[in-house]
Amino acid sequence: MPDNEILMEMSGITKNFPGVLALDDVSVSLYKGEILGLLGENGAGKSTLIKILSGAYMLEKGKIIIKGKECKFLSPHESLAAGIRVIYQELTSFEPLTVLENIFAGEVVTNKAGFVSWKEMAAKSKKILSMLGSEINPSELMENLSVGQKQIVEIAKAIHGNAKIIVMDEPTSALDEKEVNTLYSVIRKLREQGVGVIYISHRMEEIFQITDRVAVLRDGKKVGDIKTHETNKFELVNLIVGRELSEQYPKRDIKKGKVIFEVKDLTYLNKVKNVSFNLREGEIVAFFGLLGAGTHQLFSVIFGDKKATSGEIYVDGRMINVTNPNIAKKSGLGYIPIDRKEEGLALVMDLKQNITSANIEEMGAGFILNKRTENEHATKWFNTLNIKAPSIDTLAGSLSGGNQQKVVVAKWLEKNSRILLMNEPTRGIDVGSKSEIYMIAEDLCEKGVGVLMVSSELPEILAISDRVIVMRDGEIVGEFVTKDTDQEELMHLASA
Amino acid sequence: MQQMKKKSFKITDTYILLIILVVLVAFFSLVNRQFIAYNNISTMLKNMVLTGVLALGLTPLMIARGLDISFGNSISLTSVIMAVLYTVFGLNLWLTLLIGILVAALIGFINGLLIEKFNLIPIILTLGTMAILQALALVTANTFTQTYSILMLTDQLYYFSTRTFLKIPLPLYVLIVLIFIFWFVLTKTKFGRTIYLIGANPKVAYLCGVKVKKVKILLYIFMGFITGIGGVLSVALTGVGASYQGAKLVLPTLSAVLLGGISLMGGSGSALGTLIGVLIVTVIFNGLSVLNVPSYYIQLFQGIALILIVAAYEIRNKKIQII
Repeated sequence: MPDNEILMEMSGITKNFPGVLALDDVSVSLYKGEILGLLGENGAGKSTLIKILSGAYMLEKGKIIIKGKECKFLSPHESLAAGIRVIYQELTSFEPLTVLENIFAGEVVTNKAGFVSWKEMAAKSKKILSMLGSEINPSELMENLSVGQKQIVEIAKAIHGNAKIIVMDEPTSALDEKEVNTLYSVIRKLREQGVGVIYISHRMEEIFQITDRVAVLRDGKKVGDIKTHETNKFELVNLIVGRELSEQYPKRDIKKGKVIFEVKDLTYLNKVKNVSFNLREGEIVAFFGLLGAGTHQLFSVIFGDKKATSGEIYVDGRMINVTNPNIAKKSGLGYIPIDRKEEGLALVMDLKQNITSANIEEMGAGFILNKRTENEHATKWFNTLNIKAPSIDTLAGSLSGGNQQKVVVAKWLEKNSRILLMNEPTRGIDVGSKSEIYMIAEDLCEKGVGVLMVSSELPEILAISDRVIVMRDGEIVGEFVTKDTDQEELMHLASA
Repeated sequence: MQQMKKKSFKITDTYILLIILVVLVAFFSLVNRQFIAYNNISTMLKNMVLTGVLALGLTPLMIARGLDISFGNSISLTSVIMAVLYTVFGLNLWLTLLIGILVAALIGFINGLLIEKFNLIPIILTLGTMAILQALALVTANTFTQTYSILMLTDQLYYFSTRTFLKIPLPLYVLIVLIFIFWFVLTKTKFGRTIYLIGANPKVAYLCGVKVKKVKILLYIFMGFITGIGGVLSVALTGVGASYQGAKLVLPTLSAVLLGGISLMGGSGSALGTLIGVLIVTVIFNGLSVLNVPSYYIQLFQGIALILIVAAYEIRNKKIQII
């Protein structure tokens, strides 16, 4: 089916971020009427590559040739003009407007008198939608559509804009099975029209159902480029995962104590369903799940940021009613959120103020803030965690990601938290800081702290956790002792 | 390194404001000798008290990303209520003043409660209360006295507003005490730190266990309380409870606060910065009236000044980000 006419060719693409080589000499091409699967773990460089293609990131090194024409400097505008459309996970439609208005957003059709020609637009949008095999009413409001239907509208919009290349970033993550099938048939229709599709997904089954070829990225390098029918799931997972990371971070043998934390039948709306588990002193329990599995919400609920619909939480065998983070904090919980810039740190405040921010009440007697006490406490963690900054008076916003994360950790160490919730603790930080964070976690375990961790990086989970709990659609679907399981098993369970 | 830069920037901020102040004082005294006469300075400082007190009340509230623009009309209403209670009902003076302050504090509480419980935008909500308070002031005054401005002369308030201690007018001591209290709370207490943390990032503060909404409601009550004190000062200084008394205070007060380094985005500002802002605003407007500039031009200038202040800070912040 794929024509041998090349639509797009990216070669030698290299992209540096401070401290991270996000893409290292990556070359990917796309043929007319081809569906290319783009695979890789989080942080492997998929989104960076897409952002370069869409013009969101500047091309520093490498070449992009679109339909035989080299684009030296691809701006978002040029990318659109070249017929490249990206449909992001978080859809960017105009909710209060109609389907029709969304399809024609930005380029209204007018009649001879210069007025908007609704009739013509309605006819055109109906034509595009029916070509995609969809029966969505063009005058329906966008907000009344399901996620799957919205995606189809986005595709219709792309086609109306004369898209030659459509990139879909995890399009099925929020769809049910029926919607997935509709989407597949739409994608196949696109292929018949000669459109090239780049399809990003974590789900193996989908890759084999829909793609013609797969390109695999790992740590910013392309490690595989194979025709889909010439490979198998096992080979792909091996390519994606690659090295055995667990050897780099030797797990210490730490004695486990009594159960300090327990959750029973915790439910939050339909995002988290009947979750039960426990945690011992000195133990690291990791939660693994794909997008929408409910792991992040679970942590928000446990820490009181969101209110549980039902269920019970116990600390040291005593039930606590966590209605706000203050109660969680006082019960000995600490929370390292996924978004450290928005939820972890006050960027405009300095390091000492951030480090003591969860423990202000201990900084001096009565209502007086004792700055000497504060300095002493902050300096202690500044040195212990080896935070690289000029001093404790440095603004948190000026630090690198890894050091910022250490400040967030320091905040809860200062509060003496005994149960630490770490939500994607090493997301977006450099390799060096990553292993330091792992060391800190293990040091804490030796002191009897229990750690709960959400991570989407399996090598990390396998390297430092004692137990893994796999979640899917808000439910626990499996629990393993880490050393008795492997990536394939976990990935399979999470995506089944 | 970046921190060093930021810190020295902060110091220059205060310096720049002080330099502006000195230049303005020098300018007005050169143009008109009257400006630095004891009498004028004494009047000027007395006029400054009301703006100063209100600006101080706004300081912690705005640091924590709150805002209240209804305080002017709240002063109108409380001054009318006090005048009615005292002259029409013959209530004891001290009880009258206490009730006045409590009414203003209650208004602050209602503002805060509505804003925080329903996540309303402070400037819009207090714009609404502003209209309501103005109407209530007019209705109250008209119902009980058939006028809009009620005389309230008492020996005690007259004494307070005209006498001096160590050559300094008595009302100024209220401001001095409040400056000290606000400076102390904001820089030396745990509560002060909490206020800055909320302003820097409310979500982070919440996840650190701060009861953000409660603290902010408390700050609104505080602002109301300070407004009540403003109402008492207003009656003392003018001898009337007037239903249009307070509205004209909003613009100079907000100008002073913004000039003093408080941002609408929260997290920055200080009691001393606010004080310098108040001094500058007072000197400008007093200086202009000493020069016999007509009041409508002064009003024109007030508007322009506010826009210039906000623009200057915005431009400067952009520059820092680029560095």
